[in-house]
Amino acid sequence: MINGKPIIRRLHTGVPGLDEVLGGGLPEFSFNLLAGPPGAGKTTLAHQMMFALATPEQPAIYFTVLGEPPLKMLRYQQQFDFFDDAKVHSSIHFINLAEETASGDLDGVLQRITDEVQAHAPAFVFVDSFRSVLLASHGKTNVFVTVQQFVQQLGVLMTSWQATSFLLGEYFSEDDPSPIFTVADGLIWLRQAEQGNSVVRKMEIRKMRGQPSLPGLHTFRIDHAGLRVFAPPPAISAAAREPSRNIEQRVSTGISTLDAMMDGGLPVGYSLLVAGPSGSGKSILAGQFLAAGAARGEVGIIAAFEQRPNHSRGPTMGKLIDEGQVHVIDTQSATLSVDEVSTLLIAAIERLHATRVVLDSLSGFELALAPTFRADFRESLARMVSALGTTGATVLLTSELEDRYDTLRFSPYGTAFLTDAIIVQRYIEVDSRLQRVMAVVKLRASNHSNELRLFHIDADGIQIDRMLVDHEGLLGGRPTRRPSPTAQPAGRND
Amino acid sequence: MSVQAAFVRTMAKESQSTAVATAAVAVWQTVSGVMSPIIGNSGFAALFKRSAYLASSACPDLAAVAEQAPACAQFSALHDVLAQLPSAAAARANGALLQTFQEVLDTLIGAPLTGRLLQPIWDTHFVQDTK
Repeated sequence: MINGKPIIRRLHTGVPGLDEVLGGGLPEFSFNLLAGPPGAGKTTLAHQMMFALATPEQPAIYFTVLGEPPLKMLRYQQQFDFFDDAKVHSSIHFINLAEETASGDLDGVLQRITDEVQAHAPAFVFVDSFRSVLLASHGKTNVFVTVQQFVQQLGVLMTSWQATSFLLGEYFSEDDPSPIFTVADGLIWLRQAEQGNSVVRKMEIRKMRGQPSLPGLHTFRIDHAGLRVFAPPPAISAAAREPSRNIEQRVSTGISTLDAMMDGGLPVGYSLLVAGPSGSGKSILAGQFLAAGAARGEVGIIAAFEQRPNHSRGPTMGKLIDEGQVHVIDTQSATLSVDEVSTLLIAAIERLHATRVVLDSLSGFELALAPTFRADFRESLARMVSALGTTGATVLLTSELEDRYDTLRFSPYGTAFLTDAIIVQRYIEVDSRLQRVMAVVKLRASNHSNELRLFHIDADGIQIDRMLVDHEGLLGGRPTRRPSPTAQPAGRND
Repeated sequence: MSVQAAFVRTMAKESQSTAVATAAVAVWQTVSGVMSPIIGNSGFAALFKRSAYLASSACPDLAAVAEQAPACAQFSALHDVLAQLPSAAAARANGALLQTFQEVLDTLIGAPLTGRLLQPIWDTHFVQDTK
């Protein structure tokens, strides 16, 4: 049987991340609704798509209705990078419908739209905003067409004119059983979610006929370049990514003794959690890990969430950053989401062909998140770690570990299960000195040392020392000297 | 060359002020034809009125155009004002009005977009290019 299904072309919206969220782009000839409260970014989204889509062969018409005065709109939209004034009047026509709308005669509005569509034969039609069309029709006793008919007719008109169209709605109640929702092929909802003092922009694809859009609320930002949507990284099952792993290929942590404790280093593509109390040397270990990559000509990426990122990395790290061996992900913006950081990290890994990634630290990361995302931190983090795993890069995450000696914890988030490997650092008291110990707690599918080794930090970084074989109760923080010390051979497990 | 100078130059050979007034209205009708669809009739009328008000400090005769209330009668008010002036003064007054209109639009939507919208009109109506 011949497959006679109509082929729906998917248009690239030109909005980073939006095509993914839509499920592969915008269906051609679809009739879409961009809804949301004032200030949600509807007009900006519409302009960004329009400037990306419109060409002299496939022009766009932007109908402005009562809402924003067109002069203001042109003035403000020009502030965005995507606004190309060379397209105005050639590929893009702005048409004001204020007079027709003010009369409240929807027939007249429809007629004017029809006339202009016939005159310009646009491939894209935008009506901004639709709410004012509806409002204008209220209170008229002799409305010739109802709103439902109006929308229906507009939808039919646009589709039969082979135009992809967008109605911008100033505000729609989400529970409003509006006829528009039924008629529209696509429903893109923009929101500003508020929690505490932070406001985060979110987008939801409520409906997109004929294709699998990504469900859920997706965060987006608006900056000088316009909108940028942060699609969640696809969740990959552990089984799906395991076969590609060849644990024979190892990368150095930058500390040879530690590599030996890990049976030759960290397997390529593994994620490593370094947990330890404040000041134990997690960031230094992370720095050595990146430096070891740089020494082999590899590019690394760091997303650092410290208070003063430029001061605390030290001269070695600073040099690597200056030389472009280590790329820094900007984590200074307010109201971050895990998906945003994932998107930035994955994009940077792909762009720079980076092999090593450091996220320092999870505690700082959680603090940097907008409050609204903290509740889902573990879930989002699991998605992120799994998505980073698919890039093939080796990932090192650090985690602040509260110094408690009554319980043995490796991470404050229950994040230990997320990573393939765990190294834990602790403080212990020996002979009235604060000493540091380190152990490899977990190394999935590989042998590793079970030694608890003393270490110190000098100008060259972390130096791993001997085991405290003559002491016991190290994890309790206050080891006691054993009466008759007997050296234990270095064991292997797994 | 400024828009004002271009209009004055175009009108240089006109000795009849009514001819200047008619030419001025023709230019304005083209401007309205481009701008009104984009910013609405009322948006255009408001800009025109604002320009007449601003230009009236240099050409007091234009004050009558600024004060003319109904948007639909703006051009006929302009015609009446210009027709009563000597032709050279009429050309200068309308030149100033065009110049002010362009400058007001510049401040609102920027010179590149303004040029994109108005330059083709100047190119059609004026004898010399106005760049």
